[in-house]
Amino acid sequence: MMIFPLSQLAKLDIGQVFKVHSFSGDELFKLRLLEMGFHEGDELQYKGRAPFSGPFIIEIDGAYIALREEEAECLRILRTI
Amino acid sequence: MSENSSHNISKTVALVGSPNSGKTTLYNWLTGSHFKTVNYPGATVEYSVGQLHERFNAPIRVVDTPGVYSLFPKSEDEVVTYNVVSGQAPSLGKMDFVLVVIDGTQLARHLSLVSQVKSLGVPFTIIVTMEDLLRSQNITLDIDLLSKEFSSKVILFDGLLGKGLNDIIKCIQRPVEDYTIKALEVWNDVTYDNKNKYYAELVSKILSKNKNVRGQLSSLSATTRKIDKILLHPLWGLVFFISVMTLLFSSVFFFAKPLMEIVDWFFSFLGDGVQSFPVSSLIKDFLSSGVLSGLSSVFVFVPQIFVLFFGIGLMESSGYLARAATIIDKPFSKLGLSGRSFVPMLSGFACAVPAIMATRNINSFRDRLITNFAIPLMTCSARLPVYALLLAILFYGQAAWMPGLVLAIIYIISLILGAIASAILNLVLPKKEKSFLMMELPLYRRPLFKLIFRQAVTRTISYVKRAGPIIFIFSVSIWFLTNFPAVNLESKTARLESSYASQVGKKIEPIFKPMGADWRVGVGLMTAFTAREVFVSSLAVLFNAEETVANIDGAPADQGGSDIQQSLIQKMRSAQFPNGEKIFSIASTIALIVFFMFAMQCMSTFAIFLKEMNSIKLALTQLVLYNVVAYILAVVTFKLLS
Repeated sequence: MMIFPLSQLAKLDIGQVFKVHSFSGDELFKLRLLEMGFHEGDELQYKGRAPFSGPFIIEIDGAYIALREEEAECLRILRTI
Repeated sequence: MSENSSHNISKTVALVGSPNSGKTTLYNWLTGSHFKTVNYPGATVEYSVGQLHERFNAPIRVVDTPGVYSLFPKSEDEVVTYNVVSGQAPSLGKMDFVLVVIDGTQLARHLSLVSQVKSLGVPFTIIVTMEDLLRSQNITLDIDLLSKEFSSKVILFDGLLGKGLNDIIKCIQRPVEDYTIKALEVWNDVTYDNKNKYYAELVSKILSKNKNVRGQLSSLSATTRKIDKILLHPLWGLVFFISVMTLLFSSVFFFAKPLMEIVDWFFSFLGDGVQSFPVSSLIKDFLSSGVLSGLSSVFVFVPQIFVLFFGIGLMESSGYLARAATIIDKPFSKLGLSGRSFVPMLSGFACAVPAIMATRNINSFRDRLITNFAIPLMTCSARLPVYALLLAILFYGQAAWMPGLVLAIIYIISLILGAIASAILNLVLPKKEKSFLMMELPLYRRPLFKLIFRQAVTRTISYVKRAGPIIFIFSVSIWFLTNFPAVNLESKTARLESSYASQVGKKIEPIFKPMGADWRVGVGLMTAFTAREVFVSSLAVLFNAEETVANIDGAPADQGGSDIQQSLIQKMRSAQFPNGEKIFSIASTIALIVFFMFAMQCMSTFAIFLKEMNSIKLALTQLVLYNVVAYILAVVTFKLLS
């Protein structure tokens, strides 16, 4: 089972579903992610990146969320399949 | 705020919720148009205070707070929300009641906020919004379970039709209870993780009556998913973004123009009317060139402000604004800004006044400050007549594409200058709070036109109220300085030549000399403070013969007719210093263009910046800094070229 930060998702991963594993790194970003309701075991789908290699876009429980690279780094995920 | 708190207010209710929770929609249902936006003391954050709509017949004050995900503030606007809810906001005092507004389609992620409000000890009711969406997919919620969990009343609310509003009104009319605010225990990552898991489970119980919850919830976002396939696509998303922005920008620029001309026409019509008054010519001139043109300088921005805010409202209400900010976030993050700065910066190319007002959508103070410093560098429409005149002199008798090309270059340079200014400020300004994007992209919804219209009107009125008086006073003062003391002279040119402004201009000619300008250009630059394009009409008065003066009076230069423009160009081309040197040489004309690119030469921008940033220090800093930089660069340009 591979655990890695969301910021490492690549083009090939678009459309794939991942599970939230843990939170790490910058304290502020970490807390912010938690405030927004992310929790361990949450399923998220990777939607791709905004133009100019911009923010990562994910769908979680029907909500779309945009995360900057450094924010996405704090969200550790694992592949479900 | 004093107007609201003055009479009969029986209690105060605050709305709290995350961004996109439907809080503002509920607020509009509650207050109608009876609200005003106020600046939080000592901060640039603004929130709305209104009174419950008359038809509810209850003197209750309603406060709409900036959207938050928690009661542990991480930015300035979140501090305001926390202070309001916890009763620490000056002049609002203790809340009698809090409505926690949560998105019914996103329950799990919003319950930690409810829990924090509860811990605070303030009496509250939970409002679950997006009832229309839930109903559309036949999703039923076990309201009792939610109600039991927080021992609070829960009301479903449909923002589209206003269903549930009566229950909410009844609820806030109940008697006030006394309570004391408790200190919030800090939630760390462990608290959050536990709570989030707990609420996720709770919500699955709340939704347990539905046969196929996942499918139902997922079909809620089906349309959004389809649209976003295109609108967030790396290529097509960008194409769409550019198209929308072009449309928005050209609306501000072009759709507002006929309206602005009507405003202009209306005031010159009144001005003509004044001419027939049986009063002395001095009073006539004061009324038409002082008072009326002052009012006209205030109201001429109204169409642009309205069109811009209507456009932004449309983007916000449909759900696109957050996506637009996401799309352009990367390039702006390099300047220490976020994608939210894009719309204001772009609007700066039409006019800095609505642009600075549009920075209200930026929630970080630092980002807002940087954006507001960059905006006046954008080539606004008032600079066009000035550049047109100066380029006509520079390229006199040459192919038309040459000034056109230079104008295009000026536009691009202004964009680069804005980027440089932002980058410098990003380095210089202390980073008090870390900036983050991390945001929810709301579902696409059909925009609520009535609401958008009302918001655009409110914004426009707030501009007239806030910046209007300052612009008006500046305008009248400049009339005084350019007409006194020799007010009895018939000729406008003679009056201006012997006016206080000219006396000052002549005294400080040595200041303008290094940039290749004489006192008349200096006076022109000073009068341009009313509005940049006034530079052209002032020069027309200062350089022209008597016969054309009557046509120029009061009318903006670009409408003054090509004859006057041509005659002015001729006069300026042949104008000489006493020693026979040309005043408008290549070097001095380019120096003037450089000056106009930097100079903060617009009292309206100054006024709106002052009001929006709520700081005379910042407003003066901007004013002095840009004018000094403009002057130095103009002098350097002149010396290098001559």
